[in-house]
Amino acid sequence: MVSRESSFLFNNLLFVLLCFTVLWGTWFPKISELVQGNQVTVGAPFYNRVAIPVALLLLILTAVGPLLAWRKTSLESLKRNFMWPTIGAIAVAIFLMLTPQSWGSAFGLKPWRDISNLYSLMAIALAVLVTLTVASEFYRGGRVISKHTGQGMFASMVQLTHRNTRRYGGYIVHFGVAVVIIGFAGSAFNQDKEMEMKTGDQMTIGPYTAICRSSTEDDNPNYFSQWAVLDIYKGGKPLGTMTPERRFYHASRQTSTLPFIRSTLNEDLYFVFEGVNQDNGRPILRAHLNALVMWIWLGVWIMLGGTILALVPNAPAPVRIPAPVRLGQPHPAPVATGD
Amino acid sequence: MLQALLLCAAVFAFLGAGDPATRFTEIGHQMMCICGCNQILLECNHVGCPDSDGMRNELMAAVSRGDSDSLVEQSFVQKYGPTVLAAPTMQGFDRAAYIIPPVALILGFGLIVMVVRSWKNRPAPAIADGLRPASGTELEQFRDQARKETDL
Repeated sequence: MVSRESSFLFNNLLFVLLCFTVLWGTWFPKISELVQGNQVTVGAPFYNRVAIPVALLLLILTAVGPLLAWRKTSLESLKRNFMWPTIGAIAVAIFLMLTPQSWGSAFGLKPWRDISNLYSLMAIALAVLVTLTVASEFYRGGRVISKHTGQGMFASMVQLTHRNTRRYGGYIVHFGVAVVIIGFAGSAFNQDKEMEMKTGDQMTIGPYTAICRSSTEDDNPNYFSQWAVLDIYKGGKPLGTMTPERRFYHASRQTSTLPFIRSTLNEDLYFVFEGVNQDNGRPILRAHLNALVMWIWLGVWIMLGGTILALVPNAPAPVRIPAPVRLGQPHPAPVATGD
Repeated sequence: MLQALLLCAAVFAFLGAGDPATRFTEIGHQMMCICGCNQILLECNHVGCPDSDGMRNELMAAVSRGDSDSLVEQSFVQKYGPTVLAAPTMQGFDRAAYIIPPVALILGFGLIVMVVRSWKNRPAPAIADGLRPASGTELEQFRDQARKETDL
């Protein structure tokens, strides 16, 4: 039961379950109408409740799967492979709980307060577990090559990867998935705020303060535009100016908003020019503070890099290392690399 | 002593639950905008939406009055219909929405256990004359040797 084959089976079960959940959620309004005579809405809260635990189980398999042996994995092997990554993941989880929330969105997590904090903490801890298991694979393989060839660790890891690009490219894709999951974990801390702002008015969202310096409008043959000029501060320190805009295109009679985004590793801050109060002409601005969004983009790029690496052909000639005489065999057989 | 324990439990249970802004955000994310945009009430960015502002004001008024979460939801359902709630409730047939996926997981898990057991009980593949498969202690010795030669 504890083998790579069974981990693949469990992995497929979870993916099929996610697909079934979407199918069930899509059909349920009609089923409800058939059974009880009224439709219900099956929206985001249902999928969050059902799909997030399944996704966390998938993340566990992502960490565990590559370190399981084919056919059978012994308990000793499990302990050897997973002890340090598990200790590292638990240490990171404890660190995130103990740090102050002022450090950023992913810090100061209190899982006993609400379920979204718990899910975020589990997602980040499991992503760290995946990262450490991937790193341990590179480290162990690189150490063996380094010992036999005398090369430095980094060169050994490069050689290791080039010998089996599909396997190690796949590990990099797994690492990319872990980074994306950290980005998703930030959605529990998203904030938004809408406010009518006249010149001089101030809006606070998270650690940021926006002061409306002015708002204006312009009309040209292509579009009519309205925009606001906001000075942004964080902890009293000025960060710059943001100018969210709204346009109305004359030809197509379509309205389009051009949000102004300030993106950092910790969070994305963006302002949207929602409209204008018809009574007093003041702009209505909506601020969004979305945590850890850049991690999603980084993770996707890492996955893309891992995929490209996996498509690179393996190194042409494997290094032949004579093996010692085996039990019962008269001639030593050379050891070649493979999957 | 018992009263002190009960008080502590109540404090922990209601920690953070009383803040109107937090309740407004939590309840607002459990409801749908009824204008037909198919978005969560507090996330409706439908330009010129005729309904979301009114619904948000109603929600804020109910939360400020101190109405409980279930009372707020009931009043919205009575006014706008059951589709105003963004997810099925935990009552009556609606519970089936949440029960079926874990049941499917348990059934799938059982199926996998059966499949893995049938793989284990498969007869050994035919082997050419003169060779014998390694098994038992000898197989463990070979595994140990492989591990030592590829690891430190």
